[in-house]
Amino acid sequence: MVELDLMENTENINKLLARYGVKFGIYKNNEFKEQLFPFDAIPRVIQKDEFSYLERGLKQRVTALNMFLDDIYHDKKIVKDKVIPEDFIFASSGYMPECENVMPVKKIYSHISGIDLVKGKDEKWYILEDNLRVPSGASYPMIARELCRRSSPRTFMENQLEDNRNYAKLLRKTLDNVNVGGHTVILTPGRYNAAYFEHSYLAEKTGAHLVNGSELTVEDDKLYYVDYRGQKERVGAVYRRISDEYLDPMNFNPESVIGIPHIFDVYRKGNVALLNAPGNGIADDKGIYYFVPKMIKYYLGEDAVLQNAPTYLPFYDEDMKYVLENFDRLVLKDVAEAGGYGVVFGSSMTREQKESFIGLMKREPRRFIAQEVIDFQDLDIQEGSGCVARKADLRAFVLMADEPYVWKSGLTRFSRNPDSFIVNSSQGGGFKDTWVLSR
Amino acid sequence: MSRKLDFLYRMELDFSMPAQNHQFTLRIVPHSDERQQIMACEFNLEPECEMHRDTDAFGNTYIYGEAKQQHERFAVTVKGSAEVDGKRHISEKSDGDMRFSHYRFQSQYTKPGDRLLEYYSKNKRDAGENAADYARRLLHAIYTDMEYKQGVTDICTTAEEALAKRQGVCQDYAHIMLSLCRIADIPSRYVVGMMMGEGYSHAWVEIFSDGFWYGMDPTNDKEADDAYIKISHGRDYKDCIVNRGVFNGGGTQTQHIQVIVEQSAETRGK
Repeated sequence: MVELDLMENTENINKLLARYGVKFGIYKNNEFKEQLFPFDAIPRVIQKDEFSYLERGLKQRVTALNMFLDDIYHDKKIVKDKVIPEDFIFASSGYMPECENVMPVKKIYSHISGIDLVKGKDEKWYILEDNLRVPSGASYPMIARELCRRSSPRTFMENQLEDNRNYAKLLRKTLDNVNVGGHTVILTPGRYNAAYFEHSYLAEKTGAHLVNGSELTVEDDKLYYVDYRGQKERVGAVYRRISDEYLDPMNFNPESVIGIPHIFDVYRKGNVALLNAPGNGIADDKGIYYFVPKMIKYYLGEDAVLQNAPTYLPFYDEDMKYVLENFDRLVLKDVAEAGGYGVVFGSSMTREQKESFIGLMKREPRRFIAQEVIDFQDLDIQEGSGCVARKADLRAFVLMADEPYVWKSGLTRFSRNPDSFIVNSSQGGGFKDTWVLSR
Repeated sequence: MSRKLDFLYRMELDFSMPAQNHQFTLRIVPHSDERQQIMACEFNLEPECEMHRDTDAFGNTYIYGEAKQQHERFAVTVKGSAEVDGKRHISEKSDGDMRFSHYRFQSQYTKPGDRLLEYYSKNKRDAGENAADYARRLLHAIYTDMEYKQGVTDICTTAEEALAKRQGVCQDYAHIMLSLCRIADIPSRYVVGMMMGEGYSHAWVEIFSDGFWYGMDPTNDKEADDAYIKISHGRDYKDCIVNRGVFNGGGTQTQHIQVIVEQSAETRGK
């Protein structure tokens, strides 16, 4: 049994992951804590046909989302044509008027997208969330695969699966595609960031410089990297792993010490590429999620291949009525929150909580979405000498160079708590490798 | 009839210890529109350094750059003359049903809480009431209910907080007015500029009504007339910050702002 061979190595692999610093940092009560990101050796296996179906749906979705971002920051046709109400754009914290009429290189907004999906017990895949700002997670299955191959080469000789070690090459291609001339850098906020391991790992694998804000400077309306001798070299593309808010203290949060003064000014002039584009937060908005199938129809004239989880907007009277009538079986999400926060299940609320929540929802209907709880499939994870079933999702990565490309792997995250549907790493879950079979 | 004005905007930042690598962005240069013609405008910066000029997403001119060398003073002078027609207003076409949406929804400083909502319910816009007429009513209400007092609020104070104190300065008056106009579905924006007799920079608002932007100054209970020169506009204070900077060193800093707007020398005495 080849799988057994791999499973026997779980402990070793986790030890190696710890040694390589594969950690996930979280802030709890204002304190930074690093914790290991537990790896489970039993892979999630996706059949070849099933993956090509996902591929089709994901490419379609990301293509439409890119068109949406371009439209919102320019003509706003989708709003004028009343497909999406204005409230969902202009009252969203993700919409940035500073990005109005700014055209990113080659019109690409979301170069690296992380799309979260789950597979229901009905065997259907559902999209849970789009992450078009700074999605993290690709490095974990990359290094896990590497270590698994080393500890159990036989497993990979006897199973026909797609090699996922091409991610670095795909990423490099994506970065080079928009580079306007000069070096390519990965901008990290530093080692106290939750995903610092990933930043350094991707830099090493892509051959890009790993830099922090103080190593970059704007001069003559261009961006430069300053090395330890004080030599300056032009930078043409920045894969920035810091959020819009902290990117440039002269244009956004003035308190930011991790950003680069004036980087947004030279970006506006087209003198450097930023990946992903500032302003993408509007596409991640949980309220906008509801409209993605409609935007696919609107921009591409096609029906969405991949379905959303059934979602209701209390903003619409009819949906509000439905939500109130079915409150106990729905999950409610605050559109302003991310990372598994601001998610509550109607069934788990006390009567008082429920009353105050409904009061808030009636006062600020735009702030919430309600969804049917998808009963998604469990995956086996090792526990002791046996296996237990736990909820798991999949983050698929779509890279946009000349055309969208779906990485033939992904990050499978699972909940460690048997009763929880929330798999976010910031909530203490673990991860698996994702195998895409090649035949 | 328009009036000719001479203006001077001088900002001095003195450092107790030398500052260097001083990155700056200045929204301090007025531009011409239908109500004001900028006839001449000199911009001077001390120390001398590399600078660039651009127009931001809101349409404001801004100047940015870096003073690398050590300096104990950072001083900006904008000096010029303008011809202002107080009876004219900036016209703009709204884009179908999209009526300047980013000025119609609440922003960081204007988001109403219970106090503003309550205040609005006492000062409601009547059904069918013209936006400019309503804004004129608001001007007077805010002027009456607020007390002008320095040092009670600061640059971080929101409209809701200022209304709770019932005291504040022009920035607070403007934010309260914006919040109320936006509750009433009137596109409205924050304006920074200069005003005759003020001696300091000033803030007021512009509200959109029937194809025109009307300047309204709740701090002085009046519409912006030919004594007002506009510099910039945006959703709220944050979009119009006159001087943004980061630098190394500097110790403690002292800022002086001097603004003079007066009847043009050539027309004075007529």
